[in-house]
Amino acid sequence: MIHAESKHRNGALPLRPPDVVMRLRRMGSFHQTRISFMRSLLRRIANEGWVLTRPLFELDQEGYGTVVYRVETPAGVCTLVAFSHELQPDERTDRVIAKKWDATFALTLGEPTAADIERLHANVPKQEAGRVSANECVLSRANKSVRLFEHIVNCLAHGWQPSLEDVVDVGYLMRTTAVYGNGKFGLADLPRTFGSGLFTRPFEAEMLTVYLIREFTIDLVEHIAAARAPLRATRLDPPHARALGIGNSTGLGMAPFLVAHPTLLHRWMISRETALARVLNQAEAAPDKRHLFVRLLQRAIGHVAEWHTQDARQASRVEQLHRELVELGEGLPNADAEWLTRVYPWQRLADWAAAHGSEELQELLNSLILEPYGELVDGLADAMTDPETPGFDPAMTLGELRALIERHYSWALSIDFDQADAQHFFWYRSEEKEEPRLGERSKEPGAEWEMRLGIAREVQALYDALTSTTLDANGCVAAFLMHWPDWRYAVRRVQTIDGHHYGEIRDNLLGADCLAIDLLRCKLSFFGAIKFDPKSDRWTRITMYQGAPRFVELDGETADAWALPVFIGKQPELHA
Amino acid sequence: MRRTLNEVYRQCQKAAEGAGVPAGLDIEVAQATAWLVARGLPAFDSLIQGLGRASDRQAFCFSEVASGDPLNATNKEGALIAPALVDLVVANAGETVGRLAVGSLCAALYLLPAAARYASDGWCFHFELLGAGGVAFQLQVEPDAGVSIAATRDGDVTALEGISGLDVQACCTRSIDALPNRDESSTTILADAASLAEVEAKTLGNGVEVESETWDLLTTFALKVLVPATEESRQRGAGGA
Repeated sequence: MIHAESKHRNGALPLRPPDVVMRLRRMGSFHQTRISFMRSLLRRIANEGWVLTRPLFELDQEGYGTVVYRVETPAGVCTLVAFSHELQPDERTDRVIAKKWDATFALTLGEPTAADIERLHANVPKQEAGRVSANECVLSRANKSVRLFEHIVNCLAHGWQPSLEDVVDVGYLMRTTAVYGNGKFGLADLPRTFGSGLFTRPFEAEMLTVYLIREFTIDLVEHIAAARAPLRATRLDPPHARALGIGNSTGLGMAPFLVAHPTLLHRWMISRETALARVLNQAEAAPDKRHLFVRLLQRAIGHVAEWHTQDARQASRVEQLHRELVELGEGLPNADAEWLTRVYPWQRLADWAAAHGSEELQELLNSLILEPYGELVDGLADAMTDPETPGFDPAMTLGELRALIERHYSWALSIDFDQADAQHFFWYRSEEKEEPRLGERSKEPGAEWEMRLGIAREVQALYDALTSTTLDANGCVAAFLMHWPDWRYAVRRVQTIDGHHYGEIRDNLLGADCLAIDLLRCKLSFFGAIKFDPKSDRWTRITMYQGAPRFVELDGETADAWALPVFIGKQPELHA
Repeated sequence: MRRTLNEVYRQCQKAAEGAGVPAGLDIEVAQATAWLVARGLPAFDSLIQGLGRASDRQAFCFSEVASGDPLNATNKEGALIAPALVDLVVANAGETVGRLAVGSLCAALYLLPAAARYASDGWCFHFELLGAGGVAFQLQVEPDAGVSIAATRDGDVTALEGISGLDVQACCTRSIDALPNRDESSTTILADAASLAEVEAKTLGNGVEVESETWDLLTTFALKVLVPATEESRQRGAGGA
């Protein structure tokens, strides 16, 4: 139990230690926050007054053709070029090994010419098999949720609105199956994308692409409905449209990213933890903050009630989370509840949750209490980019290196890798589109080419080598690596983590108890995803932007008013 | 075919890993290759030569490092040892000037990206390269001024990639004033920071032209890191669909 008063006497609250935060189970309990990338993007669009137009809309009666969305920002123009295709049911798969999709997209830097659109038309539908240029910065594709898509088209063609229950049950008209950036397939390299001035934060171009795809899907169903029944068709009313996000299927491809980019992961985590610490450190909560929190808590109860999943593990967690939220809501019925009016209310809440609640609850509350404090939190969204050039100290002695390992990797040194369970899994790249996969070491071939996700094992082996080496402990790292360059990765990793404490996941990713789904959830929460719906322990469906205002609705008030959306039940408004 | 820098990096990293280049070094070699080609400097031939010998540890390992004596780089691959050489110069610097003599080095251009990594931390480097027949080059890396390449007589940067057996005097310091001065009367700048930056900007817009033969050679190495797919791996390995 953390005692708020003692923290107060000692000055600012410390951040939660990496040993607490950087655990798979906790990372697999993260939720969207104010500084998640979707949230910060919508704030930016609203604050900077970005303008969306649709200069090209050439779809046939069935909705196949080309649409162009132009986004004007103070830093310049970017454009989403969307292609809608006919797809046979047996060709529709969300796996990365698919070759055809219902719709394909490219986000261009600037305005494409007619020739550019022709070029894109010849390449974008092929996705990985095509070739784009450095004028494009994102490549993506999406498949329809056939049942909901047809249902909504049918309803609109009859002049009806679909039932909100049906809309929310699925939550999207299309789901993306890949969103590529950073130089892949000819796309602009990241320095060019950032150099355009249009995008300043991690995955911002990708998040904009998905947001525009959402606009496209809504335009598409309305167009098809109007084509079927020109005189009778209606458009989606705003609440129904807002209830539609974009689905996404995410597999293991996302998992190695967090391990391969420790300094970036550190930036994301420390921004989140700093945001949390700033709020926990509030000695008192002003009435307007308390009111907003109580409304959010009620909304969270409704939101979780609408979070459905067939996955037994996640369903159990959601059910428990709902129970815990209801219990908490009963204890905090209004903004004048005793807990909220005492000193350090948010720290008390966090302490209570840590002692009595699940990690799902703890992390949902951590997201919740940030919501009333945009003035403390939102600026941290600008601190989540990292140049990723960690320094290296070749003069460090081997004794110092050992001490670093002991300081930052005691969790790794305690693992017994002689036990088969400790090396149960290996991660590998399949020859099929280089899809990352997870194999069982004792049963499957390919372990000799495993990917470097076994950081704990690697660092432990380095530690053993340093212990047994005949080199003097006062010898330097540079000389050590001249002899044994095999340790270069591990040595650099240890030195990097010394300055980036949140850069390492403090669990054994090779262990039999490793759940890759936790890695996916962590990263997706930073994107701003909600309603995680695991389909196995290796891939999940999510919803993006569900409940978010549409582009034309964005303003300073709406841009942040879509946290924890509720659609079926009563949704407490976040703004008076 | 034109390739983006990220494609170059990824292909080179996989190729290096597939060739048997140690973990971490494969990443740095790939980053160095992308750094060089982004600036229009030759790199692929040196890399492919290095990868071809990567199964022989003598190509990138030093058995002993005696202070004061020149390191003998005979039969070592410059693309693979450049990071370690630059590390050693920096480690030798302490609070003053780090020096290192290396004999018989090839692929000396790979010293540049290795040094540039340290330049962002404030380190300055000067490399004197002396080849057979008196051909000499100077490489300089400074935190603010960037990279420059000079030669004492007719020569071009492309030729530098193919020269082996270079004797190298390397020094680094955090004080630019402590670096040797370039003798402007006897050297010609082959590439300076401005011209390299200009090329890099163009590369970001247009990519890098990579000959298919080069790409295919890299692919030969890179394919080794990919595990053959089976229906079982399709279902189990990725969690099914």
